[in-house]
Amino acid sequence: MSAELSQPVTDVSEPTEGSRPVPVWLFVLLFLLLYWAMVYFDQRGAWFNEEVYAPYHSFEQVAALQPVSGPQEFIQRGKVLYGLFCAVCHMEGGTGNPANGCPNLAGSEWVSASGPGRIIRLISKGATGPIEVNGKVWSGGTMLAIGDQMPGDEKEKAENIAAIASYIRQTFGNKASLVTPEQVAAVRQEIKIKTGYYSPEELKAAPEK
Amino acid sequence: MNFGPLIFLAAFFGLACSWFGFVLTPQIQIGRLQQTNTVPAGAIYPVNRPGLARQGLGIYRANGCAYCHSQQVGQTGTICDVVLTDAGTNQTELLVALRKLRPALSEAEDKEMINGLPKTIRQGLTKEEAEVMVKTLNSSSAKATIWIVPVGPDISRGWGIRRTVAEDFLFDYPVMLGSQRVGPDLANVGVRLGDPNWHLLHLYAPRSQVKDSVMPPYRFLFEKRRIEHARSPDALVLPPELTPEPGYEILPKPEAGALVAYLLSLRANEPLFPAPVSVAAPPEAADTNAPAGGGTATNAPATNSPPAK
Repeated sequence: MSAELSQPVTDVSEPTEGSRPVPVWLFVLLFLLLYWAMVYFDQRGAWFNEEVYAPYHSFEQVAALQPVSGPQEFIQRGKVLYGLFCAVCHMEGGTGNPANGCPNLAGSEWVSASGPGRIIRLISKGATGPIEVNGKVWSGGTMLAIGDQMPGDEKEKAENIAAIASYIRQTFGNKASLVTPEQVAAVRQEIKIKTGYYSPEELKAAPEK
Repeated sequence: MNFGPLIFLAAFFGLACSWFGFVLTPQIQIGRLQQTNTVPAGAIYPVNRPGLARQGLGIYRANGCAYCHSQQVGQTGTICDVVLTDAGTNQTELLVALRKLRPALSEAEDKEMINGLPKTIRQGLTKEEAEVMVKTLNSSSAKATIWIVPVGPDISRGWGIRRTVAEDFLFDYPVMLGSQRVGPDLANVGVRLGDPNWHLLHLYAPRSQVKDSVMPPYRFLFEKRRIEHARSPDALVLPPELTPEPGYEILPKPEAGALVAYLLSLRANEPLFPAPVSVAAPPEAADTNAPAGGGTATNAPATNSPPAK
């Protein structure tokens, strides 16, 4: 060590940089790392899906872990939504409100129809005009397009409308069948281009299924 | 040599990359976040905080609460519990099924358990294991259901029942996520500590409520006033060593009221799609004349905490 230092450093011994190629193994390692990173991202990144947070790795995993939604939860969901969107006019007990021309849902033949086709249309787009419910004509009221104005994407809207329809078809003494989100989605696909409110005559013309 | 254009391009590339990563991508991901529905109850979430609580957010921000308190609950995993909700009609068959599922327990213990349903019968399973177990139980006319339980250090501290997600902060500006945890996480403080008087006393004198607290007292959010006619109903009821001299009382200023209203509004505990968790359904579920079956309904098992190991 000391012998080296004692050597006089001359201009001649100045180090120079030769041109040496980058070793091939470095490139191989780099590409292997890159490959590993891509595989890792593909398996755990869920492709930037906004519904997937750690510790979940994929949308399917989150979807599989959702709490089971039995008919009772579905009806309960409908009850919550009814309270938010419907009870203002149709009242908590589904009695309707003569003051603003809002017909009753309890015992209504529109609600308890054999199929949910008309009630889905009604909730989705709203209705106006005198409407006859159980022989009594209600006029002066306009139902807004509650279904279209709900928050959420189309899938959530279909679920919410199905929950509301199921709730009103099974409460207030009504005993009609449950409505599934698939039924709602199918009907909403058909009436996608419909603008404005329905009239009772238009609704009567619509299929009940 | 003139490297100007090269340096410019390199800097531009570097900045563009970080802009894509830190600004554009999050904007695409959650920039248009809307209110959503809780799962499976379907309530709208989140709702905007009440007006006073929104003012309280400003007080929270102004006093730097976020420097010591975070508002983000982490989660490291999710486990499934199997909850038996209904013993059904054929108890013998159910007991045989339980024998198979829990060989470590005696038959007498099984019999006793069936009396007080709903009960958690197995904890810490994967979804697949739980599904198999529920199938076994349901084949014997009993009703069992899968209970989704998030786990993690924050959750076992009792700071929340699930991780926090972007929806929880939809109406907050700015979002007070915080990064330090000198004090406990506050994402669910409104659920954990629901008493406004506790919070007022805690702000005035933290150690009167939490022994060994390192939180500084925020006494400038309160004022000492002479009692004119009668004691104000809002005056703090303080321990003897903190009580002001006779004839005076300690009253919270409006800022303190707003801050407490904000703290009480921190309740990030609703089950959402991105953060699934089983919670007990509200009791009014029993009112509907819905067909029973397949639901957890009103039957909440005893705990929602991770299994003791």
